[in-house]
Amino acid sequence: MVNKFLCITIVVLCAVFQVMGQESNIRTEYGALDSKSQTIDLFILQTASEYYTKPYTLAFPYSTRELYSLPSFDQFELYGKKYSVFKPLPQSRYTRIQTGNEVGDPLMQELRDGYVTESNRTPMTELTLYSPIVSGWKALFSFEQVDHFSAADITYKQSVLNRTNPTFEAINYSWFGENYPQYSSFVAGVEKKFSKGISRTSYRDGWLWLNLKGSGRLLPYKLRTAQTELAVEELYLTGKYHYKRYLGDELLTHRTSYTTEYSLEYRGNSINQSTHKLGFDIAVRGDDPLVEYDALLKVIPFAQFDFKDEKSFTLTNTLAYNGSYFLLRDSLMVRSYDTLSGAGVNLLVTNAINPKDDYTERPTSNFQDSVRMRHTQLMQSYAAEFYKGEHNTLFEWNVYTSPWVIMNPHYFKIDSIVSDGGYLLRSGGVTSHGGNAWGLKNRLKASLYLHNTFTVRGTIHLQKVWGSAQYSFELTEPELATFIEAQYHNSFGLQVSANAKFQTVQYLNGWGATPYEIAGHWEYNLTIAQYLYNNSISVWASALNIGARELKEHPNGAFDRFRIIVGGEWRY
Amino acid sequence: MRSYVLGVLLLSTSCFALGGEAGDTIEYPKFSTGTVALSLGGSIPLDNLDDVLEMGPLLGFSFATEYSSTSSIVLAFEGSSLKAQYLPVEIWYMRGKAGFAYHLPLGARLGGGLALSFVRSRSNDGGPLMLDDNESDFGVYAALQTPTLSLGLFQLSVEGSWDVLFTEPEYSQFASVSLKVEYGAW
Repeated sequence: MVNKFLCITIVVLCAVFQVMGQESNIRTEYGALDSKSQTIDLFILQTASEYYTKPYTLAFPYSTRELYSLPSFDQFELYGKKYSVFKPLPQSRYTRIQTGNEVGDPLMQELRDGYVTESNRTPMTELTLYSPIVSGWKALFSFEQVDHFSAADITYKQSVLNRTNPTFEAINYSWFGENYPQYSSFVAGVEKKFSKGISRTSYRDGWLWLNLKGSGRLLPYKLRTAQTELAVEELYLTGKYHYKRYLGDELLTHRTSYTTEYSLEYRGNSINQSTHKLGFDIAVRGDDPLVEYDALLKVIPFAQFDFKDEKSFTLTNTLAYNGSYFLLRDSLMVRSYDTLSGAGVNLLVTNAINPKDDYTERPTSNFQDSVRMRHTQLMQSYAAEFYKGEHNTLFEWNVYTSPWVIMNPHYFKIDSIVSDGGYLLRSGGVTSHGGNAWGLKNRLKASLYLHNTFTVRGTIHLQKVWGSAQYSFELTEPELATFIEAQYHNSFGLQVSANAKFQTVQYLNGWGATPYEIAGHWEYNLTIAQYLYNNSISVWASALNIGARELKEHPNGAFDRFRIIVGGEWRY
Repeated sequence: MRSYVLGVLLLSTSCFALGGEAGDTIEYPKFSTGTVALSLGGSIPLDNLDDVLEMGPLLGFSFATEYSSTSSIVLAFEGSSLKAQYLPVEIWYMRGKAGFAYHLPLGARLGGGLALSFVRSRSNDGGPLMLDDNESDFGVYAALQTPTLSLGLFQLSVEGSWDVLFTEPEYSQFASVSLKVEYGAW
């Protein structure tokens, strides 16, 4: 559905309201999809639990988490991001309920046509309840089920369940509904604060469809996780238990696997802003029919040293040993923070993907190849940054340019692609390219504060990439991206936020002989929110990806549709 | 046509939403009045549904509270039962609405907002339909209420409403006309 008039209307609305505050107030499906609708960040949607996201300003074509944080057993992807089963409990207390739907169900149009021409539109539901604090204790219950983006692969999901269990499972892999949503789970937890520390325990139960990292095989999981954390002064003790029961397609019965992980960390603060972490992780895993780990029992000692001088300097060093090799990951950022104009250097050297979670995906009856996710070789990235800006009470502007180079990049090399009933699976493995890629990133950012209730802000990114390794990255980023946001609030606590995001053509590289083209497109988002009683209560309606046409950003992906979400929240 | 409809409604509702003045200090609405109302009338299919559904009765309940001195917040729930013209099918068409109403002289109101519609077949002798289960979709509405007539504790008026449902492959449109009895709860 292309709605030119609507697009113009929204742009006019932005212009009329001349809106915008310090942060984006577009409300989305919580957690997962915030950066899709709220920022200019790159966001390639496959499903609600599988997507690729990274900040535009990051020169290197990898996600931030991969480059700058300590890898973990449950949280690592080379190019993308997945639904995390161990999400941290939210820190502020609130009760929130929201529901939404993809727009465009036929309703009465079915009676006009006598048949249904459109695929089903699917809802989302979230309910979060936080108890008040009673003598240091607080409790949380949260339920989330996002059926959005689930219509495209529903037939494939049914076929996966059917061939596994010819009598067909009675359950629909969700707490309610028949849409085979990407996730449907609840988490319950308690937290106790005491004078020298804090303890948190939570339990999650539900269903999840998740793709394996390399081949992209889609698996239905029955999910149970438990997590407990105890922090006493500088010592952190964490225990995680992850039970997975899934249906592998040549296995006619359920198979189970589990991972338990314990870690003990000493987090010290020394002089200035520097911190250091010393500790070890222990993982015990159940034998998994689909994945071959290099060891079922793994002890990984690690040391991480961060030095941060607030003004200009960030240094992070990680050293870890996984039994067969050392991980070495050093990053250095030098930047002059104190002025709007300045220069900086960004450097990153790493020798491994994730020493905690290296494995090989095993061949199965309809997929003959194993997929290797183990790799160690040195990758080096360097970027320089130059920026200049100015601000006063009326406006603010900033130009930024960054030449960068990446040598011997890690990437997923495809051996072959097979189609499993239309769903693409790939074989190959993580390896080093051997070549280099280099590029230039440029950004112009400007804000206009016409009144303290009206702001307009715009960002333009221009970039170019060269070098033999440039097409090895999972995504060829758009050469031009723009983002305009506007915000207005009136004297009765009503706030209108709108934004428009444009990206030129992008290419997904790892999924076929020729790159998968994601056509250039606009995205419009609008939220109208009413705040009450000193902002403690808010109710809102959000229109996301307004007037979206049927675009698939991934060959195994969902239609990125126009969604409306309504919700209410009480903070206390 | 449909983008025009959507654009106009979005713009108009947003304008109502701007009832307050842009100012430095925020004075949250105090909800100093509260009105409940009962509506009785009819739903009229428009546009491409004109020869698909017959006109049907409408029963509605609504609540309005003061937002600013010139506008109110309105929450409404309406239900209709409609017969298909050429199929042996009868449907429930229920909708919840939330929006703003701008105060005109003599108690008249002009308003608009967001509507969430639920539709399911009430009786169906014509084979399986997607509508045999609950289906829902969002849409927008605009409403005009005539000046009110005072009858003791009650206020009497006539309300006309134009509903647009964001369905595919085409939008669905309805008009409704109803007699509205309001009671000032506080």
